[in-house]
Amino acid sequence: MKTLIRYIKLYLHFVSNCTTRELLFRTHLILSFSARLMLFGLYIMMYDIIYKNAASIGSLNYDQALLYLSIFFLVDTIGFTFFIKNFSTFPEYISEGKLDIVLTKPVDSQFFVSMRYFSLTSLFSTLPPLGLFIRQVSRLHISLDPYHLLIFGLFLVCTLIVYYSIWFITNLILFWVHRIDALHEFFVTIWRFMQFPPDIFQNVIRLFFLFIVPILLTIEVPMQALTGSTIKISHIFLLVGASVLSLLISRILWKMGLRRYQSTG
Amino acid sequence: MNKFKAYIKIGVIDALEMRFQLVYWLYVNMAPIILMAYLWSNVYSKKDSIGGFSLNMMVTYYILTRLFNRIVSTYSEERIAKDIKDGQLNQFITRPISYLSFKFGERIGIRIINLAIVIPIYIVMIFFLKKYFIWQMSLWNFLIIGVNLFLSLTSFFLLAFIIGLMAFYMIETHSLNGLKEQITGLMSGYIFPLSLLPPELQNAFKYLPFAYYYNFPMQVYFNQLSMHEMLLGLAIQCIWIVILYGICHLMWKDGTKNYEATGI
Repeated sequence: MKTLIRYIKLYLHFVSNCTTRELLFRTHLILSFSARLMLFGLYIMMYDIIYKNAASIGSLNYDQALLYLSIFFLVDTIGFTFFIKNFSTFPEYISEGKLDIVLTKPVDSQFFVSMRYFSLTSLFSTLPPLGLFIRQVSRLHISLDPYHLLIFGLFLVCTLIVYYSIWFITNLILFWVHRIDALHEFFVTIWRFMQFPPDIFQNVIRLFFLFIVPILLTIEVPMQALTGSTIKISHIFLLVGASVLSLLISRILWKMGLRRYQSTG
Repeated sequence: MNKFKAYIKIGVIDALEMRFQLVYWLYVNMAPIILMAYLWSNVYSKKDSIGGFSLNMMVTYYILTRLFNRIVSTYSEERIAKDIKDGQLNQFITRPISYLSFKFGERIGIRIINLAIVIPIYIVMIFFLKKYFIWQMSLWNFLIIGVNLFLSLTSFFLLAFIIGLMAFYMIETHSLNGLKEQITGLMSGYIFPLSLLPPELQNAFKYLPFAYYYNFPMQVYFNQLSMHEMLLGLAIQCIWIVILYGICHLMWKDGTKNYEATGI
């Protein structure tokens, strides 16, 4: 318990430090927010184009599809808030040898490299998808009773764990291949597959996203929990299992990577 | 000219040193094609045509725009901004070298190696997707697209150069890149064909440089433009290049005046 409180206090210091820094560059903050807002708008536009042409994506109607999109972007912006700056700094730690200083600190090194930075811009960017989410919940007449909200929240936590773990694992490639610029985009590119409902994926790619990179159910299951639709027990097992397993693998691979790390960079 | 050849050679060497990087960027480039193929084949299972585009046209559109992206896109802005911030610009200011020409030559060199790897992979991909791929290239269209792609590369580079030079005035320019990417994504037809947008927007985008990066060559490819429209398109691109070059020139002059050799 003491350790947990110590880590929470440390994280709050990180957040305060990063927030102060980001507030110094207000133009940067506004421009970054505008870029994220535009990206979000672009995908709403794309959904609009498809549905206005009397077509649909998967089995979802327009309102359900927008709810799906809002949950996707909520997870994405929350994930970016906590991890984007950390994972884009990864090459500096591993390829340039800056991990040395982290290893000498009295704190868990995986925690430090994953949570040292916090993105205020991304936190602001959660607002547009949150707005769309609230709108869609109201349009679809979803009753937000505490039970459904709790289950939705729990599944969302599982989703964020999968999101973190896989992103973290992909960055560890740097321990083996020393120089790849913008490696953090590796996961982001895979993750973008989930911006459309998963029933568009069939056969091999479906199996790939279920078992190899288990992100297929990360948006669908929380959405089903929220709307009160029937969720297959196997899907619950797969999502919860994926979160536990991927977190465990991330820990094992981090330890393996550290053994390979040469502090010369 | 010899100097420019040397700049290209530097780019070639740089690209060869980062083969892993090329394979990685190839993956980043190809994954969205796969995603779009899944998305649109699902959408077209319920509808034959959307905005005048059949499934085959859509698949062809996404494959070729991604290939064109490998040819025209330049991401020099980060390096330029870094040169300014770290004081690396000194070596260019003190030598009889044009920084703009150096960076442009270097980019062309990188693109040459990049394409040598990317084109065979695209050919293989087109072979596997030949059921969907529409092949309709006349020699004349090929020439127009060739000229268009060179002009797009130049215009794309000048835009990146301007954003890089913003480092003279701003400490953080990363957000500007992000904004540029989203604007380009929408207005160039990279995310979806511009013909799917309302006609008013399509008309407005015609006068901006972005639509000529991807949407215009695809219109040429699908024989959707008259000769007059094709030549007008190339002329608009040339005008934009002159404007962007003028902005680069002014920013360089003004920025280097305030530049402190220790960096910013």
